[in-house]
Formats: sequence, structure tokens, C-alpha cells
Amino acid sequence: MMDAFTDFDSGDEERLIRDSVRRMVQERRKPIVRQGSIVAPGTHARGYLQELEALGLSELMLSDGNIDISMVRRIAILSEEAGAGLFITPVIESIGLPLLACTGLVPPGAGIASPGMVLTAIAEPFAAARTLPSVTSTSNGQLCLSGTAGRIPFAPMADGFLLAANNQGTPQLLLVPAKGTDFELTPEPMADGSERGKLVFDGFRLSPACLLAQGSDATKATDILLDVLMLSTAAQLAGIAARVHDMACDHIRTRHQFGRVLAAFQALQHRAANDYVAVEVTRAFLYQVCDIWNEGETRRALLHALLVKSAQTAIDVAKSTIQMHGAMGFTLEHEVGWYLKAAIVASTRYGDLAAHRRLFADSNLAYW
Amino acid sequence: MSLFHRDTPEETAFRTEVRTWLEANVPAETLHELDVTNPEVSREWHRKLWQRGWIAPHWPREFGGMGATLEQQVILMEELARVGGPYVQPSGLNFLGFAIMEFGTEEQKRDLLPDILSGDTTWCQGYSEPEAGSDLASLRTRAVEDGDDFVVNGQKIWSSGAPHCDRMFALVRTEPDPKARHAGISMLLIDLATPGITVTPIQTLTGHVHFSIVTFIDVRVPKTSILGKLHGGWKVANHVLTFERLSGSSPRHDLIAIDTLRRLSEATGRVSDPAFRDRMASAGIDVVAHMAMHRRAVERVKAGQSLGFMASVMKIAGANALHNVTDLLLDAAGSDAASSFKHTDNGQELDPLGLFLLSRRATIWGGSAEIQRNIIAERILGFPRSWR
Ligand SMILES: Cc1cc2nc3c(=O)[nH]c(=O)nc-3n(C[C@H](O)[C@H](O)[C@H](O)COP(=O)(O)OP(=O)(O)OC[C@H]3O[C@@H](n4cnc5c(N)ncnc54)[C@H](O)[C@@H]3O)c2cc1C
Repeated sequence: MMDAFTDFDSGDEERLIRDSVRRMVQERRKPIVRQGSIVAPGTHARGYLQELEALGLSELMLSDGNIDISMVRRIAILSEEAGAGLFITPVIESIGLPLLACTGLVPPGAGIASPGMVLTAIAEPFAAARTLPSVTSTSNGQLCLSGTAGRIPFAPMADGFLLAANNQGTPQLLLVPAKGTDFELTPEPMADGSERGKLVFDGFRLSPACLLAQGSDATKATDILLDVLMLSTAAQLAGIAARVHDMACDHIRTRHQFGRVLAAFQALQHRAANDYVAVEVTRAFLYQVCDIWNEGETRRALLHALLVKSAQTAIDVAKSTIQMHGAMGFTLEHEVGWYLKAAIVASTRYGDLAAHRRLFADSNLAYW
Repeated sequence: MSLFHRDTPEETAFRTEVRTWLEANVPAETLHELDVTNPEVSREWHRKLWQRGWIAPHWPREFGGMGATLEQQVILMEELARVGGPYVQPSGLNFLGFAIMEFGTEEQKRDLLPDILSGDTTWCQGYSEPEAGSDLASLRTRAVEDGDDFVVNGQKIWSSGAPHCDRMFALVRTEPDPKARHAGISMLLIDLATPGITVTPIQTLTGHVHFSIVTFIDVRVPKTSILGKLHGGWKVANHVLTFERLSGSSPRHDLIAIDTLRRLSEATGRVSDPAFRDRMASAGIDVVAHMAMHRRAVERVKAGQSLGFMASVMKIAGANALHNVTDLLLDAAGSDAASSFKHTDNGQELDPLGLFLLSRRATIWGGSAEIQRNIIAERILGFPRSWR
């Protein structure tokens, strides 16, 4: 396929990253099979970073210093490839701590001692009414955590959480182990084969060292995490869209009806052309948002817009690809349906689309 | 600055200079007009911009252009859109000028280019015919050699600006039965005041006199008026059509429409209806995405790469975004959408129906949306040629 709007300014390094990650995703991708039938064709690896580490590629995701444009572009590339490969895994969720370490908002070395995978747990970030778990300080200097954090993506995989909480009106960011008698995690299976979870704390005791940031630092930290999570989710959706579009084109190039390939029929050509336009607009938007990452005032509103656009594109193009496959697209055996489910799951992972549209409208961004 | 680009200090200075000058000089009576309402005001505005040196930012200096950087071109485009100046006849500046630079004789360059710049001669494009639309190569207007002249017979239609223009660059058939459909066509530069030419204006859906039927009966055109080679007109026409200018798919029209949408929905109170805001957000998101794509296209051209067939992608994306907004404009106006009552904002009449109607052209002119989809299918996705 032609070099479109996305990759023309990629340097050799970015191309290399894309190629090696694409190969890794393809090699590692393992469908989940239960009792002989495919439960989900994607991979539910423990964490993207962990997979990259195994290949010595983890430094691609994180670099020292600030979260800068080249870093978010790399995150976008890695996330797109994860989406394209149906690699359903915490892409960014597991690197919250090292990401924040880049920004200096949490003490250096925070969480190094905590073993295993620490997942970001920011409960229902864009819900209209929202309650966070609450923190109180006990007389012996400990922290005491109570309340619920619902709909936390991938939560059952975690060994610990980077948890957004509230201490009598002051936002706090805590490092919380995923085990304890006063803690309950209820897994919730998702349509794409992944799981999210509800965390319920009931007087859960934590040492004061678990408090990573509070006040405006905690707000800044959760905002940065959310921005990167939104960007990565949008990129995964863009990757899904591009992949299902390729799938449709490959199929209609080879399937014959009425004595010719389906791709010779204008009705399908135009469907594919519309899908191509949607994919290209979305990817152009994605990389353009990366490139203005440092424009702090507009970033969040653009991310709301980007998430809506990429979700809509992924879902629409997946539906179109199902249509172009005929009955075969309507089976559990063909991958395309799984891509559609993955798109729907991703599009509701951090806020729903109506919420993103509402927040975008409130920003008045489109009106110069 | 615009949403996806932060001006450098030099660009900021240029933008300020442009904005200040435009605001002081734009004729108030034609602010935000949708099409030419007064050809004289348009010509006067053209001349003013020329005198200021800003009429042809995209022309090379050797031909009298500004030789502006791409960023300066974009800034001028944005600021002109923002101030809403009169419509300037684009065919000579954006199409013909470049074809003359590429294919013209030295005399043609010397005689024609300066007047295009100054606005002393305005040009319209004569490609389409009553029987030749998307299938342009089927055109029938004939030019037969006779002594030092061609004798032209036939009809052109939809020629934008023809009612107000001085000349036409027209595709004519110079060989009746060529081996290939695209052979045997030539490009003629025709003075519309020549005897035998009748220009019959046609009103557009918006009520403007925008285009016309131009009839040729035994019209004598000197042979020196051919642009490019005899029978070589298709190459010239294609050069004109594919000459990549980002302005063609710029978000300018979306932005004008969405600005009207904001003002109108505030005037009518729709802006506080959550259901309506949701739809405004959807439409706004598509506009922002289109702006992002346009910005990337600018970056790509700056990096020295051509847009190629991506121009077709941009055309469809732009038209989709525009249509979403103009659909919503009607809803924002509610029961006043089609009445003679007009909401005003800052003394300016808001014309939702006008913008809605005008936007129909986005998927028709310059190669319809269906033709763009054919191009994407065939040239980008590599599908076999469909029957057409
Ligand atoms: C505002 C405006 C300004 C214009 N200005 C000029 C000008 O200055 N000079 C000039 O020469 N022309 C001009 N045009 C004409 C324009 O180029 C033609 O309208 C355009 O090329 C389409 O041709 P047509 O109108 O004859 O439609 P047709 O070609 O008859 O098409 C009718 C419909 O059929 C569809 N169609 C046609 N062929 C195919 C196919 N192979 N596959 C699928 N669908 C197909 C088209 O997309 C369209 O929807 C202008 C048009 C407009 C609206």
C-alpha cells in the first residue's frame, strides 16, 4: 500500500520500531482456545511491556526524561500494531509508574520495590457522577482505604495498582498491592476475551510510603496518565481499523462471484474507498495529535475528539468488512468479528463515546 | 495560530500584517458572500490584493508571484477565510497560470501571465459539455483548421465565472476520429468577445449567477491561441486538473460553516440542548480530523513529497465533514431554516440554507465523489477497472 499521510515523516528508527513490533506481535499472537473452540483469537499477554522486554525492545516505549513528541509517536506506533495484531493486553496501563517517573511527579524509584505488574486504576474517568475510593489517615500514621473503583481495565492481571483516590477532597495517587484481606476484586469478562475488574476496599491498610502524590501533583499525574491512555487506546483503534480494512481488500481481491473478482464491482470498490478514507483521516489525526503533544491547552479536547473518531472508524470499518465477507464474516471462526468486539471494548475502555463528545463540545475547540 | 500548527515568530509577524491589512481593506458590503454577487467588487478586490503583492502567493517569483513559503500561503488562505473577503475568480490564478508556465510559448507567458495576476483578464474553464461530464474525453466541441485560424463549433456548460469573465481556456476536439479517446483534443485560449460566442448564464441552487452555457457558432480563433501541442490538450488539461494545490481541499469551507453553526445555535438557543450539542460535537470532530489531515498534507508537501492520489482522499474527507456541518445548520435554524427570516449575529445575517445548498457542489465539481472513489479503488487499492 502507498505511503499515505502517516508514515511520510517517519524516520528509519520509527520504521524499524514498527517492523520489529509487527513481527513480534505476529509471532507471539496466540488465540485462546477453550474446549476446542476459539474463545478469542487475540493474545491476552500479561503486558505489552513485558513482551517487549523479552525482545529487548522495552526501551522503545519509554525514554528518559520528559514525555515528548518522539515518545508519544512511538507509543502510537506500538499501540497501533497491538491493535492491528489483536494483541489485547495492557499496553500503557502497566507502565504508569515509569511514565510518571519521566515527569518527576512521583518520587524517583517509587514502586521499584513492588513486584510484578502495576496497573493504572483510574475509576470511570469521564463519568458525569464519579466517586473514587476514599483515604483516611489513621492515628498510627497508616493510610486506610475504603470504597469502590469500578471498571478497571485488565485488573485481574495486576499485582498492584496505581490508584486514584480521594482524601477528604484532596486527590491522591497511591500504590496499592492487589492482595489483602480487606480487598476484593470481582473480575468482569469482556466481549473480546479480556477482563476488567471492580476493586472494593474495606478499611484496607497501607503504609504511608504508598502515597505517591497528592493535591495538584496527583491531579497532574492522573491527567498525564489519562492522556497517554487515551492516545494509546485511539491508536489501538486505528490499528484495528487499518487491519480490518486490509482484510476486506484482500478478501474481495480473491473471492469470485459472477465470473469475476468481487473487487471489480463498483459497489464494493466504493465501500472500500470510503473505508480507506476513514482509516487515512483517522491515522492522520492520530499522528497530528502526537505532533502537537506539547500544546497543553488543546491536547485533552483533541484526545476526546481523536478517541471518538478512531472508535467510530474502527467500528464502521469492521462492520463494513463483515459485510464484504458475506456469511463468513458472521461466524466466530473468522477473525473480523473479534476485531469488531475488540473495537467496541476499546471504545468504552476510558469513558464512553457520548462522554467524549460531550467533553469535546464543552471545550469549544472546533470553533475558532 | 491554527489548531495544528504554531506559527514561528516570522509567521506570527506575517499573520499579523495580513490580518491588519485585510481588516482595514476588505469591502464591507460583500463580507462572507457565498459566491460572486458583484463582479466589479470582486475585480476591485483582486486588484487590491495584487497591488499589495498577495494575490498569488503560490506563484513563483519569476512569473511575478510572491514565491511565498507554503506556511505563508496557508496563513494567507486562513486569514482571507477568516475575514470573509469577496470571491476572487480562481481559474486563471489556480489553474491556467500554471499550465501557461509549463506549456506556454514565450509570447503567451509574456502576454498572458501579467494580466492574470493584475486581474485585468479573468479566465474561466471550458471543459464540461452537455454530453461530456465525468466522461470528459467524450467531448464534442470541434475546432477545424482554416488558414491562420481554427473555426470552433459546439457548446460548453457549467463554466464557472463565464458570465463575468473575459476569456476561456477550452478543450476542443481537433481530430474527429482519433485512435485513442484522449488523443485529438487541444486546449484553446479563447476571447469570449469573439463574434459567434453566446454566453447564457445559469443560476445555481443558491440563486447566484455562477456558471453558464457558452455556445460557439463558427467562431474564429487564431492558431497562435493554442496552449501546448496540437492534439496535445489532454496532457495540458490533466496538468491543470492534477496540479496539486492544497487549497482545493482546505478546511476553509468547513470552518466557515462551523462558525456559522456556532453563532446560529447560540442565537436560537439550540446550543444548550444536550442532544443537539452531541450532534454538534460529532460534526465538529470530523472537521477537526479533516483539519488534521490537511495539516499533515501541508507537512508532506513541505517534506518535498507529492500528494498523488491522496488528493482524492482529501476531497472526499473534506466534503463529508462539510456536509455533516451543513446538515446540522438546518436543524440549528429549526422552523426558520427555509423562511426569509434570518438570524443575525453582530449585524451579520446568518444564512444556513445558503450554506447547506452551496455545499451540494462539494461532491460534484472538480471530479465527483464517485469518480474520486473510482480513483482510490483503482490507483490506491489496486482493484481491477470496473465497468464504467
Ligand atoms: C459549482 C460547479 C462549478 C463547475 N465549474 C466548472 C467549470 O468551471 N468548468 C467546467 O468545465 N466544468 C465545471 N463544472 C462541471 C463539473 O466538472 C461536472 O459537473 C462534473 O465533472 C460532473 O459531470 P456532470 O455534471 O455531467 O455529471 P455526470 O458525469 O453526468 O454524473 C452524474 C452522476 O453520475 C455519477 N457518475 C458518473 N460517472 C460515473 C461512474 N463511472 N461511476 C460512478 N458514478 C458515476 C456522478 O458521480 C454523478 O453523481 C462545475 C460544476 C459545479 C457543480
